[in-house]
Amino acid sequence: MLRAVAAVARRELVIFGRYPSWFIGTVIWPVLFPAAYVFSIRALAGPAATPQTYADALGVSDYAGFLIVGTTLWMWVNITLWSMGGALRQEQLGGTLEANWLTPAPRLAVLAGDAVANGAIALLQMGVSVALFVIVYGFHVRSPLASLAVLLANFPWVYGLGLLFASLVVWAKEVNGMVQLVRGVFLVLCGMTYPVAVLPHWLQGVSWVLPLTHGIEALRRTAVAGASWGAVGGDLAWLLGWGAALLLAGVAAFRWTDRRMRRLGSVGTY
Amino acid sequence: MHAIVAEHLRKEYPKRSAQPLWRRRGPAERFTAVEDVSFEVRAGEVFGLLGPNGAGKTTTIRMIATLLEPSAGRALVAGFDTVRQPAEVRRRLGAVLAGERSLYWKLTGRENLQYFAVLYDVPASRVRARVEELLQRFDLAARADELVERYSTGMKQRLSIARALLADPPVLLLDEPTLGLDPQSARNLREIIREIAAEGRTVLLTTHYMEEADQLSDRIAIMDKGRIVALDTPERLKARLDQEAVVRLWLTGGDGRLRESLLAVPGVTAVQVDDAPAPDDPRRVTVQGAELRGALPSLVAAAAAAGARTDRVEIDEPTLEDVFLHLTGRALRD
Amino acid sequence: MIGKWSHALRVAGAVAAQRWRQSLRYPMNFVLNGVVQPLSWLAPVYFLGRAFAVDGRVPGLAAYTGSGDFTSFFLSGAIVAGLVGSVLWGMGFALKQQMDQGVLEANWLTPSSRFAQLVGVSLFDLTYTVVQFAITLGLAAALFGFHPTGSFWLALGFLVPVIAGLYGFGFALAGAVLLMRDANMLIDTSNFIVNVLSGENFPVKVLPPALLAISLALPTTYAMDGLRGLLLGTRTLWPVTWEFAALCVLAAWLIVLGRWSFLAVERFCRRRGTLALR
Ligand SMILES: Nc1ncnc2c1ncn2[C@@H]1O[C@H](COP(=O)(O)OP(=O)(O)O)[C@@H](O)[C@H]1O
Ligand SMILES: [Mg+2]
Repeated sequence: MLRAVAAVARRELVIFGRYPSWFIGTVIWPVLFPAAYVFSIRALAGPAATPQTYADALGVSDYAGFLIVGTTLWMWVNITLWSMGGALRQEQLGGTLEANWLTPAPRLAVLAGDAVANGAIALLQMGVSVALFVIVYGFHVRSPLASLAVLLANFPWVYGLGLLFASLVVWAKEVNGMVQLVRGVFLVLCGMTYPVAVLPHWLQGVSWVLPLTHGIEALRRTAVAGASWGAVGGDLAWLLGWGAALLLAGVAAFRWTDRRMRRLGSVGTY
Repeated sequence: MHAIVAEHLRKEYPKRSAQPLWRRRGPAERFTAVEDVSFEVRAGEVFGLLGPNGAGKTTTIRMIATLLEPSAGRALVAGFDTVRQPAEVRRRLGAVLAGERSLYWKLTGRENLQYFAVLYDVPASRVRARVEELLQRFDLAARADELVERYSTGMKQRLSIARALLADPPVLLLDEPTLGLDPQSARNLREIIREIAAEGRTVLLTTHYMEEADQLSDRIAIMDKGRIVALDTPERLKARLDQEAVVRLWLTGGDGRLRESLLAVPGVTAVQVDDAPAPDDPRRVTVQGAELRGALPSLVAAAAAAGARTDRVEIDEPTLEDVFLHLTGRALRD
Repeated sequence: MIGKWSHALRVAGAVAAQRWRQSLRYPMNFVLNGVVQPLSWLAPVYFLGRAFAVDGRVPGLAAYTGSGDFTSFFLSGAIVAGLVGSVLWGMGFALKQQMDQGVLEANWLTPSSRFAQLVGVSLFDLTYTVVQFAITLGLAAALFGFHPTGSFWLALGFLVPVIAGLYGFGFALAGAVLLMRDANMLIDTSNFIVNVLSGENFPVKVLPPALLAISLALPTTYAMDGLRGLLLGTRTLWPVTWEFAALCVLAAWLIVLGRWSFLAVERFCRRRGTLALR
């Protein structure tokens, strides 16, 4: 079982390395994406901005750090949805899914391997990103240990969602619309570029239910504002709760999809 | 014990609809792709499923491969039920179903095999040697470290077969193994299949090429419209049509009445008109019936009545294609 | 010559019509991609604007541009950005799809011009964008508020040369797609870079000098700046007529350059025989 997970993960990593565009995804985008909003913030703050201008609007004066945290986490979710949902669908279309399904390896292990590979790639990319942020934006991680803990607490829900997504995509046979819907909700509601307090009151309620809102908020407090563990305990619990729920839902959805595919004969191209 | 047993297999699909989900009304219509298919494959036997496109061969083989659940009936591989013990079945099964498309094009041939070796549970210490052995055997060693996307179709097909053999399975399933290959590669592949069978493995293969079924199979089940219409050794299948039962005419010209005209000759039971290789070339027409030797003059006359000139007449050994025509009244080829 | 062009026009029209028909078969996609998507991309900057706003206006932005109406500022940026996206995606992605399906060679074997086919495909996206933007703009105006003070029609005239220029850029991009094959990433990235550097969500004055230099070489920069000047009465970089002239010159230059580079790539691919590969 573990061997199969490792083999799948290795396969994914090798293939990832062979697409030339990994460079763009790993090096260019993480820097480029927040850049757009950094300039917007500067424009909104005006030519006479002081650190206090930023602190008044965003809660912290390090506006680059504020943005980086939001965009990095949102992009991570976005990429996970695309790659986990898209990968399974592509394998289904391409015919390799069926080849995996034909082996005695447990199907869930194959999917778990996918998640592990994606997680490893994401960690790697975030490591590179942080290094680039230091160079390009002068970003400085204030409480590294607590920040890392917050980051890790996000893994279960992100990959639980990925798993759920992979199953739904195979079933619905459509990726684009679904990714756009889910990532759009996160884009609008989770405070990627803004403090949640500026949302209309009723939307704030919705926003605080979503795990990404807590992920971004907790990481801003630790990495940018320098808070320690204790200050983000509630967020961590919320994240882990979502993690458990989404992992369970993901596994259930996968089981259901698997059965359905065998009845309808759609493991292959259909 | 039988290597493969199919008992009253049946598969219904919901009819494919062009309508998006939210526009569909009422329960989905059902379409029966396989109906009451039963056969037993003995250990070490090469068993062929022969039939035209859409006969249900792929559906049948996919049910045996655990990828599809039968709507009714059951299938056993080495005594294990494909629905209740799928993992046990997959342990004993190698399969080549989608051919070249089922490989990772962005991995090398070697990496593909190493990856699948783990999934097939080849012991870690044996993986390297086993992969090397198969690469050698299938003549892929020289290009084992190139990405599969650069392989030819034949090489990809050989790599798929190598993958199917990774775990040294006693049973091998092949769905249209030579589809899309050039004649030379197809010949090579048939040779490979014969070797695999000679090692004592059980092979179940589907094809719509009658020569392929004839050359490779110990026994053949002829399928049409989801059902098995005959099951026997190739020789006995052909012996169902007696000598003098098949006459081939090479005709030039002729109009739309040709088939009707020939069918009207007393004793004729079936007629198959092939396409001419080129517009003005003679085309082959197969006529089946009883005691046709005596009817030759009437056949030539019937052809002439439809405007066709008879260039050549032969009383021929029956082929599997003739058997299919005899059984269904239709040509095996589309 | 006339015959050739009328044939090209017919091809472009036929391609566009058939894509419209296909896409209307999936109304959900139309709503999701065409309306929900662009609206949701407005949210991050809109809420960011709210974080800096005092009584619905942002004083910092007013200090830069003369108008503190941040929603209208962002919305007019989004109009140009929508055009950029639709032309670039239309050209590059359609080409990639044809390559994947293996029909590119078949299409190119027909006697119709390759440019006509490329333009035809993205013409669809353009008509699509126009319809989509009319809807989105209406919704956005209702949701966030849009208060143009200047001439709407004059501003629309500003968009004509920028579309032409984008086609030039699109040709070059199509060439790059032929070479690189990984179309999504390429289109997505260049689309984003063009939009950021043209000042979709900020006045380009805030860019550091090196980036500003690139920005001033893009026709889209003048389109966004001029459009805002005309619609919202913001202070433009140069007088609006000058900007219009710069826009026209840059657009013409881009068309020549784009066409040339696409043809160069295509010749290269023909020599290497890599057109049909995935
Ligand atoms: N997943 C599916 N859903 C609906 N119909 C299917 C599906 N798979 C196959 N069919 C239909 O079932 C019939 C038998 O198909 P198949 O088993 O592929 O035949 P063969 O392999 O002999 O050509 C065909 O009419 C085919 O269109
Ligand atoms: Mg088939």
